[in-house]
Amino acid sequence: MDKTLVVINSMLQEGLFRKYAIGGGIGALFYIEPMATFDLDIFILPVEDPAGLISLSSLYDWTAKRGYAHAQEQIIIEGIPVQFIPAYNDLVTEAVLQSVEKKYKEVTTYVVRPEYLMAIMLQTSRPKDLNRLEAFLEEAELSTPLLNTILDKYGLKNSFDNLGKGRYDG
Amino acid sequence: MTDDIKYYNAFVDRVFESKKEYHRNAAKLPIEEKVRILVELQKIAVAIKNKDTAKENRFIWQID
Repeated sequence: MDKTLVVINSMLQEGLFRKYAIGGGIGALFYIEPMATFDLDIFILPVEDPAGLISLSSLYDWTAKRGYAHAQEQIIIEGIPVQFIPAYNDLVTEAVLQSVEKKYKEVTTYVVRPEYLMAIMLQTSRPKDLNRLEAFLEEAELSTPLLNTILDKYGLKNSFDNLGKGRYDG
Repeated sequence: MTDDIKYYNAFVDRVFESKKEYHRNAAKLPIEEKVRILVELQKIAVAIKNKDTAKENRFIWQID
């Protein structure tokens, strides 16, 4: 994964996006035990063109020129399918802005904080997100005040408080 | 509550606590080790996939 991250860092340095952070299952992998996942999800803050429009074509052109294959919406970079996801709402944008610097081997990268990953999972609420969310509650080192602040800010407190109800309460 | 039930409940509590401890320890592994495990999980998931329901884009990471 280090080679993949080097390429993504090059894309950042060359201005293909303003900032990035690893999210999704691989973001979660930094905080909880391994669970099967196949994509490296990269949340990005895209560069807007002068008209204020967002385009990912420069990103796809850049990788195509370097010989990285595209498979549907993924790009296979150094053996890993990478999914670039423009920050699609305020929560994800804040998650990228507040991401933390981490090392993978010797390579610096940026990862969404666990509290934001939990809020995004709660917002998305697919079954696999809810399973991961439970793992976060059991295993991850969290800041409860930060988590509560995020949940309040994005109207997710009730969903969080109701987590597991119906599945465990019979 | 009989002694047998108390003993049984205590045993079950210990089993669950032991499982939690296992998962918490796995969460603390270095990320490089977690990625190594992840690739093994990908191989298993692809090997047991149901051909009718499996996603087409499951790609085992080709990393060193």
